[in-house]
Amino acid sequence: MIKSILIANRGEIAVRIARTAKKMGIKTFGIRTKKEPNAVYLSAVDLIIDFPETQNSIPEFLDIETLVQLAKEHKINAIHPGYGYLSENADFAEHCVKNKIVFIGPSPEVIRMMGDKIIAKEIAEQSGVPLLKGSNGSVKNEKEAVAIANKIGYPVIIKAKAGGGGRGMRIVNDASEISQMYQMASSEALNAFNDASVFIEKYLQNPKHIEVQIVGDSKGNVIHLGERECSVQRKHQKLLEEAPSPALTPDLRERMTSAAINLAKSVKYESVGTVEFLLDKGGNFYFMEMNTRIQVEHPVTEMITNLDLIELQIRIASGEKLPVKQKDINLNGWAIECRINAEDVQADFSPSIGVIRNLRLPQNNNIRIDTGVNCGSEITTWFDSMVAKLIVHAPTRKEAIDLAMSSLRQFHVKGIKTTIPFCKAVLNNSVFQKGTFDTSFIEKEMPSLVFQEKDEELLAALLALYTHTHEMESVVGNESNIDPWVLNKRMKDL
Amino acid sequence: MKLKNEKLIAVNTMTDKHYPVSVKKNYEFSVDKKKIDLSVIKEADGFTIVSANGVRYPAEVISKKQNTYEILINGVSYTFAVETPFSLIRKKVLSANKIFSKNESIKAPVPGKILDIFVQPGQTIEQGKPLLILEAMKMQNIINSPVKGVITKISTNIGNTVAKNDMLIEIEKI
Amino acid sequence: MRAFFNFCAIHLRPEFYKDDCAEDLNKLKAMGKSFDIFKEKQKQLEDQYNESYYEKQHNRGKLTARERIELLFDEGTFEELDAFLPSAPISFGKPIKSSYGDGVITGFGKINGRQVYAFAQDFNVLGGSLGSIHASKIVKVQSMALKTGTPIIGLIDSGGARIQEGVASLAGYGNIFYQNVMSSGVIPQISAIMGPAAGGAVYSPALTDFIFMTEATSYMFVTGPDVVKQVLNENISPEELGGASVHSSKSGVADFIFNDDENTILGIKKLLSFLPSNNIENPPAVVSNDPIDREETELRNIVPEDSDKPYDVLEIIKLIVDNANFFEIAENHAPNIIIGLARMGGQVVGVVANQPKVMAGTLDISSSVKAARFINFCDSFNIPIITFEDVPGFLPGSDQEHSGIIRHGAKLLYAYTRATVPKITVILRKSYGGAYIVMNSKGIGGDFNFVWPTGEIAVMGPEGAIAILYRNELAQAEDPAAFKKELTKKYREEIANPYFANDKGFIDEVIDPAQTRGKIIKALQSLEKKSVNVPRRKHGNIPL
Repeated sequence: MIKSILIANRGEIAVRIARTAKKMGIKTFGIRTKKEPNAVYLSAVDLIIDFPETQNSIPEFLDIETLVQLAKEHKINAIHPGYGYLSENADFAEHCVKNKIVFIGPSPEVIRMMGDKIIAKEIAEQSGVPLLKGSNGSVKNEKEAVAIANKIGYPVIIKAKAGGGGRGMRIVNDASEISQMYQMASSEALNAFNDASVFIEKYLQNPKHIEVQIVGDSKGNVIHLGERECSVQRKHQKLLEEAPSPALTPDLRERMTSAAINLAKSVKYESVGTVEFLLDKGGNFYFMEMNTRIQVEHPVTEMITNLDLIELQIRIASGEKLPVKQKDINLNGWAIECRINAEDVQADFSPSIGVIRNLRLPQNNNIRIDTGVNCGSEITTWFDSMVAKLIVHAPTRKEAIDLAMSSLRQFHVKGIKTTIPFCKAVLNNSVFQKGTFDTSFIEKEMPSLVFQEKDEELLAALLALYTHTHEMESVVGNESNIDPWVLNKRMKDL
Repeated sequence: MKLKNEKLIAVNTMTDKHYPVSVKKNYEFSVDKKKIDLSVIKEADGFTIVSANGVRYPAEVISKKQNTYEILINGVSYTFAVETPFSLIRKKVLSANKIFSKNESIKAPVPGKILDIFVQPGQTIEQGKPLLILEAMKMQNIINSPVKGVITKISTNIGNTVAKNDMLIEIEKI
Repeated sequence: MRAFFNFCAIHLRPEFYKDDCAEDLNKLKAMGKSFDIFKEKQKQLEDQYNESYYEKQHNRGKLTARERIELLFDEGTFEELDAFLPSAPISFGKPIKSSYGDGVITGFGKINGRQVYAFAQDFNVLGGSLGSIHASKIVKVQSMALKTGTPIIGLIDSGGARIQEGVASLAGYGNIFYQNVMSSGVIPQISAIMGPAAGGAVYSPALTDFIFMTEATSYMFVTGPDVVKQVLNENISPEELGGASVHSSKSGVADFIFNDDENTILGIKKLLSFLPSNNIENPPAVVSNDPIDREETELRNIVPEDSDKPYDVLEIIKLIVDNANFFEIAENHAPNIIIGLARMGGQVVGVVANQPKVMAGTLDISSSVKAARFINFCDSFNIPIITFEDVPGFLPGSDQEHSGIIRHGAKLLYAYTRATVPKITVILRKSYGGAYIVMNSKGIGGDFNFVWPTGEIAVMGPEGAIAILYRNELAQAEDPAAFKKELTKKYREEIANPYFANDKGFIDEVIDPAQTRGKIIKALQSLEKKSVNVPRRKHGNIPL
């Protein structure tokens, strides 16, 4: 039984984990770092631990030794890693297990296998999941990279062996770019994952990105919770997700979910996980990778299944049997998640840093806002740029789009620039509404990256004029009468 | 030329779109002879709302420089220069006389760390080719040259941490 | 004295002039022969302002002197003086075309209902060059302004001294400078450079309280590019040598830079709306619709917890003053300190604020001088001074020390100390060392010192203090880093916080940032009748 959890993460996911833990009567511990000592997630947990001074320069939520040490010191019996950071680090999971701390996630072995993109591909192949052509194993050097790329034909994609979330990934369009891209991908991989190994794969032009949520328990039960559509991406960063996918027919859904379940079963997967696929125009799908953690976009699945994925994670980690069977899973209605990032969309999505001076959140039925910030929170370059997620749920896709749009219209942040106008532009886009978009959507189908409300530009022009006339206006009052006492003094002083 | 004129023009500096507006007593605006009931209201939660003829949007003046204002409305940014009929003529006259700056300076768009620099002083660079890599928010951003030109100065080094708007590279346009 | 526009209405387009004038002249015709000369002169004067008069100036991107005067004054209130004075005879060179007015329009009128004297040099008439008549006209309005306790505005657009008149022209400058100095601190003097100003011509503006410059069409230099080339063999354009952008940022000579003539004149009017007419009067107050007790919770979110992080103090100022209306002065020069005018509760105040966004708000030579001059101005004209302080100290380094930061920093100290107007300080965050004393501490006569809970007041920052106080202990400590950390924490808790200073009475109150506005206005009200006894003296000896 898990009685207490150390949340080895920050931001909205720390808040999210604490919420479910609280519901389940589990005590939560949060970690306070120097970088954001007043963060919102700290008020969501039951107890706060100050991250100690260390001699190393490892960022707090990547410091395996210290985190496990903290859990031991405070007699905490489980660690939830959230997403990012150590969530897919097998060494961390192993270190937890060694120290008799429950790691909320799959076993270290499974994490290690799936984390190694090359082994993962081998496993997928053995489970009969379709794959793309590529290098067998990691690429040793630049020369080999060139050779393999030339053999399988351009475009190719270079991926970090230990990668995930788009980091350490580079697309190479022709032979002239391969050397530089290889260098950049491996240096980014080294920075992000402490492992410079990369591999090469045929790059599928403009596929759809579809992922299947699966859950498995220690008794060998594996079920799927439907798919998520994640094709609205920019530089491999997902910006808006939905469930289900408008592109899937029941037959295709059946084939993809079965493939995902087969893969999970073949490794005796225990916990929640995601199998990511690329889907081409002809309805062929290919295995991309498996994520052995909770995903940022998990709420859309929660909305349509009415399940709490964090709760499932915790129960499975405690050794419980899956509380639901595949036949109990009904996919109800449509859910959309809009990621609200601190980015200046009009300046090429560059990070927008600063203090959130004011926040106005939408009020609607059937919406959910997962956030780790409030008024006064500071957005720094220390952490990723996500400030909130807006998730909506409605009976149909059209209604979900409308609800998301009307909610975003009520969502306002002062102090930083956000991706809200971008999300509105996506929702308003006819290609998006038709559901025929793929990963080239932002590049090809969005003439304007921001949505302009009616007469918005005119109002902006008027505000500029108003400010100008106001700035230049000279308000003159009466020269006030001077008190005789003051006047007398003033005259005397001259 | 009639001065103290009641006409001002807001020019979108990105698209060069003109919004001519008649202004009376500083705050009475009309567009195409239609009166606009403009009000700027500060609401209790700290947001400023611009409202005109029934449309209400949260808006904010993010920066001003001289007669140029950056407005954030519904989270979208617009930059307007406020001009008068004479100042528009003046601009034309002056730009006809003036030689435009030949130098392009590349400044850090965000605070971050310089991971790599691909160019050297004296080197000729094509438009759109990479100059350097700036790492910020754990992402590597490639900064490309906005112009074709010759690198005249590199003001940073690999490994340096830079603040926003720090000068990185100067290029003389060809 | 001549009503400038009464005669020909207010239209500036020459064709309108002619029509209207013709009508008026017809009326005069009926008045008999004695008016013949009068009306002939009127006609000649108007002919001087023909179509090409406007066109020439417009083609330079500038307005004419007449248009500038019209924009500056309330409609129909300007009265011109000495309009018919001819140029003085020349003593050298080719004969010049004598013109009415000798290249300058002088007179008085009302700006927003208040009396103001002004002169506008006319570049179209003899290049606006300063001849002896031209000078005497300016001196006349200057002395009238001083006599009547009225502000004076000079619109400069002049090629400089009229060489053909020789020393007579130089003497003219001398007389103008004399009037400038006599009026200094008695009436507000404002100059706007709207064209060239070279050589001696630059010193009259330099002696006035504020200098405006118009972007791209104005220059100011003591010696022009030609001389620079001859003497130093240095190639430099007029714009680079003394353009508006150079003077508003690097040299700090210009207090305001506006993008064109119209906005420059609006700027002058705006500045004037904050100033009293002379040193006896109070600055013009308005009935403010901005509530005195307005709370701004946003103020609690601006200063970052981490004391090394920058923020924009302008945002704080705008949330505190009436209707966010802050008229910043010299914004591009020494941006590590912010100065400007605003109203609080309807009363005019001068604001001085360290800008943590630039160089962490450190005081250097430029910023000290910039603030000192502004404080002097405020004190001369009965404008209370509000200081927002977040200063880590004076800028260290040989460059600053060798350039005399001691003397220049002392100017700021002197100015604050000498000022007898109400002085209120709000410490936002850092307030360390000498800079603490200089920035209007209680010790040098600050009337009220408030501090936000984020305040840190001490002789020096924690790191520096500990390195000195515990030098030996640190050297012997087993774990110096940890020991230092502990001491730093202790130092912050015990000394570098608002409460230590508060307990000792060096601070009047630790306040909630949200309530800053109310606190300042109430303090100002209590200081309305403030008076200080200053020893009688000719004048103090400010460390110039």
